[in-house]
Amino acid sequence: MQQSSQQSTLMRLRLRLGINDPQVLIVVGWLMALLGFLVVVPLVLVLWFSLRTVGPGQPGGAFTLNNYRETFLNPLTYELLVNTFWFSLGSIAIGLIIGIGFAWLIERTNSPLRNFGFVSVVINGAMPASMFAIAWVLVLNPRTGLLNMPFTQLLDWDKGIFNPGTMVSLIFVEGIRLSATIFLMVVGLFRSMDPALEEASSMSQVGLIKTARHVTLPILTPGLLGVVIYIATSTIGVFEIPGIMGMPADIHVLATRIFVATSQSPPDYGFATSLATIAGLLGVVGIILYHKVTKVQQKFATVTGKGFRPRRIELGRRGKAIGAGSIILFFIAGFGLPMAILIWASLIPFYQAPTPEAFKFASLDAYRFILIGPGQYQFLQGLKNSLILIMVVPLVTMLLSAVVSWFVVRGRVQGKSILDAMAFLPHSVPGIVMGLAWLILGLFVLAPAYGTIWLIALAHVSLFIAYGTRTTNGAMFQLHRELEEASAMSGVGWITTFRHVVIPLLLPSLVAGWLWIAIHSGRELTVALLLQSSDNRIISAYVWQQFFNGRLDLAASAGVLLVGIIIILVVVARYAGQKLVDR
Amino acid sequence: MLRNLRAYRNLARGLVLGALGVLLTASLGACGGDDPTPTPKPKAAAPAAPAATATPVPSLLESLYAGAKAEGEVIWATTDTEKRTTQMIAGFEQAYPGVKVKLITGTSADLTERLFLEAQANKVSVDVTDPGRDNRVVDQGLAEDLTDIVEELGVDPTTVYSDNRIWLKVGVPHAPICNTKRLSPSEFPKSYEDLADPRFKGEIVVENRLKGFIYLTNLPEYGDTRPDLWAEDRVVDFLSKVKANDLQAQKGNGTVGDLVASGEVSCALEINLSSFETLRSAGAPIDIVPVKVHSVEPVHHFVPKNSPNPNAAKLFAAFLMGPEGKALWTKVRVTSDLGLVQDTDYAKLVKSKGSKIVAPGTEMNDHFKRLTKVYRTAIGIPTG
Repeated sequence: MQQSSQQSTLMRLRLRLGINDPQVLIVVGWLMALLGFLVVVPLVLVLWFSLRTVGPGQPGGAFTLNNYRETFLNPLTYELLVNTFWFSLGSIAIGLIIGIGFAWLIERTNSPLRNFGFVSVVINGAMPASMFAIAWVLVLNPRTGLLNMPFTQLLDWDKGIFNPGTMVSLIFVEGIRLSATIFLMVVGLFRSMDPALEEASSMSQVGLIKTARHVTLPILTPGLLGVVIYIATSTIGVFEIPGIMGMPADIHVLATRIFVATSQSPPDYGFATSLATIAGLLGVVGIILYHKVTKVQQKFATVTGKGFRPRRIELGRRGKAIGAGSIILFFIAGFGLPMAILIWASLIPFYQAPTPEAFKFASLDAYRFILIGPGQYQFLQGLKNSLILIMVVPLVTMLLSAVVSWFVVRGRVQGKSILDAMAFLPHSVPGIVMGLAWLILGLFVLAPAYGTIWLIALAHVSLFIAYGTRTTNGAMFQLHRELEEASAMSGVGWITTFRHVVIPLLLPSLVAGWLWIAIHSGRELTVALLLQSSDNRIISAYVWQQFFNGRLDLAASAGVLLVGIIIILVVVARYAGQKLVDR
Repeated sequence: MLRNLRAYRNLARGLVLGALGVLLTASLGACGGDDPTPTPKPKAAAPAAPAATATPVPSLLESLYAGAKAEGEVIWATTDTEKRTTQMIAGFEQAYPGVKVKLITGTSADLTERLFLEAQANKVSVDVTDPGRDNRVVDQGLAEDLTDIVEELGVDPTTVYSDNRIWLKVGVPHAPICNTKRLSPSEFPKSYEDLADPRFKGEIVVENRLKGFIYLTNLPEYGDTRPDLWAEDRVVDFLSKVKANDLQAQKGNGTVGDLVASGEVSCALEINLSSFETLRSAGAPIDIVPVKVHSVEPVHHFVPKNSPNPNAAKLFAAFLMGPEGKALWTKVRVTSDLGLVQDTDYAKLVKSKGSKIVAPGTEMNDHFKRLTKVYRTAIGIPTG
């Protein structure tokens, strides 16, 4: 009797949710619970403290709307919004041009140096944002900056023409940073695009640029719009580059102002969390736009069971030269120049312009200190913890993302848009605020995990699930239902279909997403700084602390080694990923 | 029918797997990480034996050491540089084998604010740490009473505060510095006021916490004890004048020092002399501006209540405030009490320029936050 009552309850639930397969019901239930914990709980904490008179860890307090009143009445808030708008718009424009251009060049053409181009873009993303910003400050400094040296050394000017503390410099540097993310998000789309229409265009004697404009871009539009919305929301929370390059010049964006509010003593949590809520609301606008795009998803499915291996476009001699030149130029700006300056900084005890006179100070002392000297314990501890993150976080995040995306794009379940919104939301909240929320969660809910690397890993999954789902959503749009329907028609269950049909087709995007998350988890700073203890420090936090302790040489040497490790990872992952996809 | 059966079998499998997942998470939670409950204090001594067989009562340090060895480690959270902490840790581990020091570094604000959160959750994760720049640690009852150590070691009472709960770990003088390559001896500034001269437009950087100026301030509570310090209005007036020279604010003394050492800017309005020494000993072309008075930044420490290793915490505190610790502090070019500031290398360096070093009083704790806001506002840095 009791059993039949339970069964009928289950049936009612299935009917209400529109789920026919019990396996799907289980997965949906677990997903909602997991995402709820990883995403909603931290965000509710942010909202909670924006409505309180006292911050976390402070006794007493009451509900108030005063934090919002003060924030909205403060003219600084509007200045921050305007700065954030221009910073986002400018850097996205540069990032899109480079990222999409490179994805097309590398995946769809026969340009020389394609593999080198792929590695160049990805290793650009391998450099921690804080190190990238520090390097570009050293490159652009008016007197000692590498790019200004021709003016100061050869022309004997007092200062050169470049300056790291301008909005243009911030946009340029952030644009280069974003290009790696954009590239990795769209490269899967280009790789798995149906070539039939492009080939038809080419057969009709239509030129490359016209084909790209009228055929390639419209095909990719749904996926690209998802990427643009994702990137736009991500720039709302970007801290490192405006923090290191902009703050000294008094150029503030939302994230740097939140940093100032949370890093003072005592912190102004009310202002910080109300600003973070505004950032979150902007993210909600992004989600709404995103869903408008996904409504027309079926029209844009470009990968079917047939013709799924696009042919490369043949470039002429001039096209090849432009392609190779662009790749080399990007390598210099995105990696070569900043890396060279960091290596130089790691060899000298205090920073000086790289002149012959300064070479007499060069030594490997900093490397000795962190590898075999007194700094060894802390450096190796950080390295071990960073490697744990690099291994665990992307794996968990991409698996979770693939399942979420299936429900969001394919599922016929009610409330699937809630799942998508849940997965996207943390992305729009600045990392520093998410870090604070996870600190509170660690202390009050996940006490056994507090102070361990696993708390940072959980926080990273919640941070990067937005990226994971955007990547898998984009790829899922392009998979036609017919393959899964064929599997279902053969009586195969959802889990088996997902494992043997969906996952293999998503593999290019899963590998690209895995790589991106591995890189970002390995170099993430703000959350790791807030959650660090004596046992779970990671390399990026070590680099940050050395830098602000005045040991640029130690920071640079640890940063150079970290980048080296991530580069090895990228090469291995690229090789292994290619093997997997080819299989 | 068969399909339904398979579906429900899968449903059952899913539920079992889910339950296993919950169990696994719970068991991992129980096994992994730190114990959420405070580490139990060493067991109370056994009931006293008959007088004839009584053994001598161990000294405080001996009993702390015995407890610390059982705990095995002490967690030290500090704002200090690795150069200094490495030597202090080595000294302690040599003096007390079997007790390992684990380190967390961060800014004073980061360490203090995290401690407040941890205390609220009854999950204090550090044994010895920095109390920040105000009195909240004491006001909220978070600091352990160290009277027994202070009495046993005979610690100078002028270096312990708040009923022996906070002690002065180190005093670091601050000073303006300039690049000797960029400025010839005739161009080199001779006073703070020289730095407000328009010829230094775009040539000055300042550490954005402005601690040197906060400790340079003469408070009404000091009375006539520190006549060389500046009145608050004078500091604000000076900072406003220097702001007109396109003052650049940067986070971190090291960053500020690097900018001057590299010649990117000519002068730093103030940095701590520890950073100055690090750069100068590496060959950087920098020197101190011979101002009349140098302020001193006091760095305090305390043992939080319910710390994870209570014996090791007190033992390490005793080491830091005792003679061994003081000797080591002096060796790493800082000093462990403000009285000694006058006899350190810093002091000699500063005196050679004809300047004075003036230490602040503990009354500054009541003014630090307000002065930070006032001075940051004066140079245009946004405040809360």
